Amino acid sequence: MIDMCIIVSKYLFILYIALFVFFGFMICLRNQDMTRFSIKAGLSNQRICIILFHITASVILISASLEYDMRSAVIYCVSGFFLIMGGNMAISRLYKNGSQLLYNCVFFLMDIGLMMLYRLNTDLALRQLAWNAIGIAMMLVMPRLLVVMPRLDRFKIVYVIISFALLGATLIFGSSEFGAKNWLSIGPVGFQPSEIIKVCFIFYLASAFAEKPKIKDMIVPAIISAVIVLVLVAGQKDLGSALIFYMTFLAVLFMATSNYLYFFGGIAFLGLAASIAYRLFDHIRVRFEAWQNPWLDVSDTGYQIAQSLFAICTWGVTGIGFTRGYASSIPVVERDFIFAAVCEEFGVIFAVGLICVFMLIFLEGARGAARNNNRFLALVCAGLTALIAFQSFLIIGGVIKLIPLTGVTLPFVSYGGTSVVISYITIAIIQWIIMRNEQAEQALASEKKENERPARAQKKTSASPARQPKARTAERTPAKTLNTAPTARKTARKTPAKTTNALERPSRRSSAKTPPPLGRPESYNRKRRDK
Amino acid sequence: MRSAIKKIFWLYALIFLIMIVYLLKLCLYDSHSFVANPFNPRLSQSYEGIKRGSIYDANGDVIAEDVKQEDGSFKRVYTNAEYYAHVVGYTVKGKAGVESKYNFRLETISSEFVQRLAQLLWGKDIEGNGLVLTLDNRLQEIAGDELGNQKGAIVAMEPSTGKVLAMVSSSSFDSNSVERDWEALNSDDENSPLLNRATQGLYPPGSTFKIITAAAALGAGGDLKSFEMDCEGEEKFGHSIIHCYDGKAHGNVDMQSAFAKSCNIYFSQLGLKTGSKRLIETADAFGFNKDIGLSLEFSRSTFPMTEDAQDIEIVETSFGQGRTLVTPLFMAMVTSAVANNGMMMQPYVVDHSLTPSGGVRNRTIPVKLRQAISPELAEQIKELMCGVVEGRGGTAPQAAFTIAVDKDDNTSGSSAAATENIRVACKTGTAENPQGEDHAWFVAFAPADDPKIAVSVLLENAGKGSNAIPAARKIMKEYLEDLN
Repeated sequence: MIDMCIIVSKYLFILYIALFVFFGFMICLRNQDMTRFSIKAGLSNQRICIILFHITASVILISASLEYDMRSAVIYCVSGFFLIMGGNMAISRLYKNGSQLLYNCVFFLMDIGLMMLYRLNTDLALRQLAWNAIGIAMMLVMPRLLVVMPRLDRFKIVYVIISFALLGATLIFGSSEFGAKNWLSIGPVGFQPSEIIKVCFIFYLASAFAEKPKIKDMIVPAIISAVIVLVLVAGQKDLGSALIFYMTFLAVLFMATSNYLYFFGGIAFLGLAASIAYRLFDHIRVRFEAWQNPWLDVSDTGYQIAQSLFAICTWGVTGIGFTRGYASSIPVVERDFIFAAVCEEFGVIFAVGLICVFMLIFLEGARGAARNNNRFLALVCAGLTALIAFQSFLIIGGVIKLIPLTGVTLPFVSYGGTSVVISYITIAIIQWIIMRNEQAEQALASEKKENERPARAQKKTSASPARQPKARTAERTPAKTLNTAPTARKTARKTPAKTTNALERPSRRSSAKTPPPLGRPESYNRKRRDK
Repeated sequence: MRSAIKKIFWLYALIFLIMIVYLLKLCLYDSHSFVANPFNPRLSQSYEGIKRGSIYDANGDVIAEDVKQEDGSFKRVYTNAEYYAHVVGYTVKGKAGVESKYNFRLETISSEFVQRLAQLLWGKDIEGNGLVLTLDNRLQEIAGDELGNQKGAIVAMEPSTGKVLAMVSSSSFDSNSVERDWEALNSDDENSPLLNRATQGLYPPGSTFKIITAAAALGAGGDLKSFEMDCEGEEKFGHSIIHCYDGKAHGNVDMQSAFAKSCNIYFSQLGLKTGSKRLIETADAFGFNKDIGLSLEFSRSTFPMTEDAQDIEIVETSFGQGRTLVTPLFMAMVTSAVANNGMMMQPYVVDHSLTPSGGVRNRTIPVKLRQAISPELAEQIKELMCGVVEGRGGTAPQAAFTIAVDKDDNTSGSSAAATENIRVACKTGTAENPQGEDHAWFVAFAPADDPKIAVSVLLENAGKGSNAIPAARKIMKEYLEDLN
């Protein structure tokens, strides 16, 4: 009977994720004003998909553990359920202006990870549950914290100091795990400093590039990035993190300068550096050769990747069924190779859906970044999103042998306390930036309606520089002067869509008072986008 | 900046799409090449309460089958166990043979949902996919009976495909009682019953190697083709003396007659004239020292001679002594290559999988292993091999046979059994064995002009090569009669 359930569930899981991704992309299209799809319906359908996924997986987990430890399975599944439900409800109540699609994606990934982990390693799964709870709490608190924070773009030095302090501490006091020295313990609590440095690093880059950089402005950030990357490669042997830093640096640099030369030059330099490293370092050569042909030495250097490929491919595209795989044969399956385990038990089609969920996350983050008119915030948002995107590409691509393997975690899915918490914080920051956009646009829309006449009257004078000291007015000035700025005209075209967006929230509109602003727009200098 | 942000994320979207396409391609197309790797732990799993797939011979007769016991568990039962023991293997003690190498297919449950439903509703057993072998029950029985208690191996192949039609090794064992007999089977060093002599037994090829020496000489071009000499039965090379079989003097011989009479002196001279380089090249072309791609356990046939070999080694190697070692299966492949215009096919024993509802899965497609020699050369060697039966003083005149043909001739109206003469191309071999009596070799294919079957027979310590002829002839006759 249980076998029967597992077989049916294979197809149910595929159905859930297919619907989830479908609604996700429909919402994306709606946001671009390309369909008339109801966002609200899409979001609640997505939540239903998550809940059904959780229930189906729970039923199987519990019945599979009937014989030995059913009680803890039940407790785990039920508390997981409350975490998802509670987290999702609290988040969507508290932050109505945030991207609900982004929240849904994160919760879905988290649930897939939790279910997979319990099946792989009960002990780690329980800890992961706790880490997720902490992460969700952070996600709830962060936007509130950020509001009271002073202007974040002023602390360049602090970010650098934190980063180097953590790097140095890891070099001196750190301990090794899976060949990389990237683990730091303070008392009983161990964590991965590189995860924290990632966020600091992006804040640093964004504040360094907050003004459109000239060539001389790029020297210091480039040196700092180079030092971080070198310490990671040579000092800690943490190739994965080094690559993430390097690619994030390139992405942020390109976004700040729009200069193809830097981007492709950087990629070319990476190729050069890789070929030099290939000649100089044995462990890099071994890894590269294991990627080129793992079958030459399946018993040793090619073992990990070969086991991963066996797990992915042995059972075809629909997988063997939840709880029936042989994931324990893959080394570090709870962390780096969890994607292979998902492929094996949920099937490759489901895994494709998982990749699509990551795509939804970074498309949503990119939309948030592109909508923001503040250079610093836009760079932070885009940088953090690029980080998640690149990290998931690095590990999924590595596990499926598209690129050489580097050991990093799959955000939200892999086991790892620091990784999970930092991932939630990353999302919280992205959400905070999205919320600011939303508020600014709502304010803009409502004031536009109220002041239609004065606006027209003002139009004549709008040729004067729009930069004004008072931010409240500054927030809406650009819209009025838009007609003159070619880049901004796009936003003008989009405005109706966003007005309807605001229309969907009757509570906001009906109340005469605008809700208390989340975040203090006035705390950031309103800078016109570079021309 | 806005457009730069968009560009970056469109790039990421593209990369992710590539990742998706790659993943699907990996799973759907590339996976066949590596999933069967022995390091994949999924392949060796067995599942409780599932009826393991049955194994059938080419005619659909059951060889191995799970039979339900009173307590509901399954027991593997083998029919004709002694004939099939080495190919089919066993499921206990770590598995062997087809049972081991094709475990995954035998445990694969096709349309599992339907089967599970049928089990819930009607209590039907859940059954793995069956396997249909290329082996033919009748040939297998003849081969097994011909060997009897004689230690040795017989392999029959279809030259054009590499399909193994019969493969028997003796001493054999009973797959049904491996668990019980395990100690005895392993401690029997004299008979080594668990060894599949057909694929793992390494023997000096004896005079059957002259096929390769002849190919090397003929392929070298020049005047080697018309090389003639006087054979006096023995000749001195350095400190060693080489004999023809029983010291018989063959008189004046050319290549045709020397091949037919199996003259060692002639071939040692020919080998010297051909040179070690050319011999090594030809051996390489036939696939010595290489994997044969068989899905069962096998040993590589070895040709360790190097280019700077001493004359005496070249001499001994040229007529099949020296350090050269071959398996009976490999000699069947060499013979098949000659029969198949020089193209050596990869041998295989499993034809296809069979789902419980009768669907055919994973049909084996014949694979070309290597072009060992050119078609013209293959034709010349075929003529040499026919001379062994037809030529004056040939060593295997008794290898020729006739088969009964039902002539449904409309004009005569009678279906009187007519007979048809079959031309056989073959080579005998007597492998000198320092530990005891010589091994008898016989390789052949028939009909020579349209080869349908190639046979390789090795009888341990059975004396001269002609002793191995009857078994081969019987198998070829049976197979060809049945084809008509």
